[in-house]
Amino acid sequence: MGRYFLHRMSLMAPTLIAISALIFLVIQLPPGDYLSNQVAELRAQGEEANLDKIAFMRSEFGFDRPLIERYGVWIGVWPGANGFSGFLQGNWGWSFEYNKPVREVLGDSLALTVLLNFATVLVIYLIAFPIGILSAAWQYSLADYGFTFLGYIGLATPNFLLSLILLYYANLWFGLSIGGLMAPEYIDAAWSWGKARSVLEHLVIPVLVIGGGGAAAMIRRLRANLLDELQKPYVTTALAKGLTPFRVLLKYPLRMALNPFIADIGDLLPQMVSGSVIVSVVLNLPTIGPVLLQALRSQDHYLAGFILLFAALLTVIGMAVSDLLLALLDPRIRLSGRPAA
Amino acid sequence: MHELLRINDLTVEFDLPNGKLRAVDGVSFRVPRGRIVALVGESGSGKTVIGQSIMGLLPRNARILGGEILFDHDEDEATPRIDVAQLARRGAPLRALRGRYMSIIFQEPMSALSPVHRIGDQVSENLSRHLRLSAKERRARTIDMLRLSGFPDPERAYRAYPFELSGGLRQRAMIAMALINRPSLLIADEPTTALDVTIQAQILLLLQNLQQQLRMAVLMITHDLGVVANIADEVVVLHDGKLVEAGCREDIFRRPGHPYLRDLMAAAPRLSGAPAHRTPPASAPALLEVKGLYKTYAGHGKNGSGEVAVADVSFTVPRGQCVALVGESGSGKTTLGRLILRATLPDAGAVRFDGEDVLAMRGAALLRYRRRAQYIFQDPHSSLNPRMTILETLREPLIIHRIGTRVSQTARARELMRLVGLEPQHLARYPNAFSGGQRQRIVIARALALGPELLVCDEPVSALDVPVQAQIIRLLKELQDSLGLTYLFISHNLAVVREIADHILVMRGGRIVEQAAAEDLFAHPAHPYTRALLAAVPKPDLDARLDFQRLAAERPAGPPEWPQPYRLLRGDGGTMIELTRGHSVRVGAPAS
Repeated sequence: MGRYFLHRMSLMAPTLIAISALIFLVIQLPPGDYLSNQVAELRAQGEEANLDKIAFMRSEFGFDRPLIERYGVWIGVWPGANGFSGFLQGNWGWSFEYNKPVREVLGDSLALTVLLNFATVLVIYLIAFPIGILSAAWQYSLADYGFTFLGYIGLATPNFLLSLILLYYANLWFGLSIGGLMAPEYIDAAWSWGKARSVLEHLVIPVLVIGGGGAAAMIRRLRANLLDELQKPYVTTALAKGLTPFRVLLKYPLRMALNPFIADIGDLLPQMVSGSVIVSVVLNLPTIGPVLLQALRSQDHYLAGFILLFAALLTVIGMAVSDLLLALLDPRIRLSGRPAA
Repeated sequence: MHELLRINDLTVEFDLPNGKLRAVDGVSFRVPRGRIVALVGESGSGKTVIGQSIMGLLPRNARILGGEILFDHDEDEATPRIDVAQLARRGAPLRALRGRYMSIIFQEPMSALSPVHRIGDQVSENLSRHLRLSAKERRARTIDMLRLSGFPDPERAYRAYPFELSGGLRQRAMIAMALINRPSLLIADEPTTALDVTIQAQILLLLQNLQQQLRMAVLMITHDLGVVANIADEVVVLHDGKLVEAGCREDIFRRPGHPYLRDLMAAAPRLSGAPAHRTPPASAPALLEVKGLYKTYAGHGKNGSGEVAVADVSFTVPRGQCVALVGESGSGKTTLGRLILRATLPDAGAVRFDGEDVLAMRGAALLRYRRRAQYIFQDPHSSLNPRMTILETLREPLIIHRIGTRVSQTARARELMRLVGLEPQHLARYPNAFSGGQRQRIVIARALALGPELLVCDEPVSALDVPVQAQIIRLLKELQDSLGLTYLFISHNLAVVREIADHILVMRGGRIVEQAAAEDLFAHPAHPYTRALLAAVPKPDLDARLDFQRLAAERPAGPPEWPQPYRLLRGDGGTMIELTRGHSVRVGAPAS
């Protein structure tokens, strides 16, 4: 297991290097860049005076250097105008559009995005697992039909509609402010208990809305997986020992049905960044999905590059976590190659 | 004799999409305490359903319509017998019996054990379900039971996962799990069918020993009359859900009354007596020549080294003859078949077909070879596409090789159906409309579609019932005569091979250890492995029962333990030497 862990970890570095190179290449692919667009705009307006500043920025950010060198500076393995100053040194880059460091542009929204989506995933699992297990254990029972019905409604209702309805009643009954992830007075305010409380209150609706659909889908999948596993001979063996069917289900099929969900963790993490965009827009959530879209359109390539790289990093980490968890949970993966007893 | 189990007029029905199926129809028999009763029948005879009914483990769509299953779980004669048929399947009273007073083991120990739980966990679970014990005592009892079940290192087995054990050890783990509470009844549902013959003999011996030690009764569900003759005290024969004949072993084997039972006895392949054998055409030219074939699969062996699948294999198959490759699982026989058909490429060696180098074939030459050599698979259920009609299945090879028109292809398909004894008007059906034996006929018809000269048959009858096996073997022999086919017949079953092979190659660990003409091999087996194989086959004959004491005394030995001159020490591949004309055997390097 230790060797597998090291092997799996050592795979991450080359993967990340390859992804970062690809991202850098892709965001540079469209003709032109933010600064030359800026120059063209200023020329059109006849404001030649600012051109000096832009020329300074061009050399500052090494736009006159070859691509590979700029990539090296971005990563932090090549000395730029200010020496080594890239990701490896903790510098996330500069946003031209906001004229601020990327770190400041994204600020809290990165953390809020991760918080929102983490809470959503947690809710999905908390709702889906008990219900999925109940539905499989008592297949075709009243509870099974009831949850199935609710699940289909959850899947079929458009998320944005549900969020608008919930928002309306939350405002009506609890006086919750419409939209956003906190009450307006806390935006740009320093973190305090009140602000944290406000964030938690505002999390409920998006988490329920995004998580509800996800949970409905997951219940269906878990139920189907469990029902498949319940047909297996080892279940009969366990029943033949005189165990209750429910205990058998929890010990054997559930364990086997978990594998696909663990394998899914790799996909879940990047969704924390890019998922749930429509709901974010409708609820006016300060997540980074919309920021990415705008950055790509205006060729604000260090900002876009950072967000993409961040998502890639989460994917790579998620994949590694799911692989390691699978190895930990499934002896067939962990022990392949161990001599037989 | 006190009755442990009494089944009266049991009737079980299945609710199927196309109607009701009466799987068990008014069956009555008894299991005396401390005896072995064999429940014999073909697939679909209802024997497994009876086992499930006793345990209360029937599938959801099955229902006990009537009858009694009276079970006397304790020795006390005063307590009334329990009618298991009346108990709720999920209810506590039945669960208290299950695993405690009655246990079951299955055919496929790999799938019957959870792959992700340790053996110790799964075995001891049965103990903790029914008895209050400290963790330490539970572990001690489990390890005792594993030792009793023949694990050489029970401590290690306790920590092992099922996939780390060989097939035989997995079945021993199942037995340990079933018997740890010393039940009064063990239901063994085809417990040795998936195992190699040498392993089968050990497991039968183990079951017999434990049955005597624990003084339990065994209901042995099996299709194999050889197994029945060797261990059963009483026999119950089922056919189509009905009881055909029941009685003690002597009566059943010496005086079979019912015609069905007599047919069943006649169909059982035997190792003794005159084989129904045709005289092979004398000295035909070689159609297939294999020389010095080697194949190693990378990284599959222990410690990541390569696993030798085939090593130093040389033989010839004369045109019009049947050469059989016999060996247990892992002997490399299937790999060899695949190498010959170029489904896999060897590491070294040569394969010549009708004088041409098969390994060097490219393009059109290879396509021509594919027409001349065809493959028949073991499992007719998975080797036919369920979404293709039989007509489509039979036309497919012709379409791939661009032979004929739609009309001529259909005509060819009809001809093929007649050739294998099926009705041409059934061409429009799908495979699920056919029985296992009929499907295997279709598979054979498909292999014949291109008019091949060589058929590689990989365990073509192993998945079939015994009477059906005999029919398929007869068909293969007829086809060989009428079409002049040449067979390479791969099988683990010496009795089946005896019915059809002219020449036999015995493989062990990727190497041929003995080869001889069929009569020669059965009359004068020379190699210790061949002898062990022959000795381990249970014969459906009360006068030729397995010598369990001898089998127990001489555990199947590996190459380093074989007696001189056959002994192969580590790294010694040995060499083939000729004993008499056409009979050669592998010997090791002389001891220095």
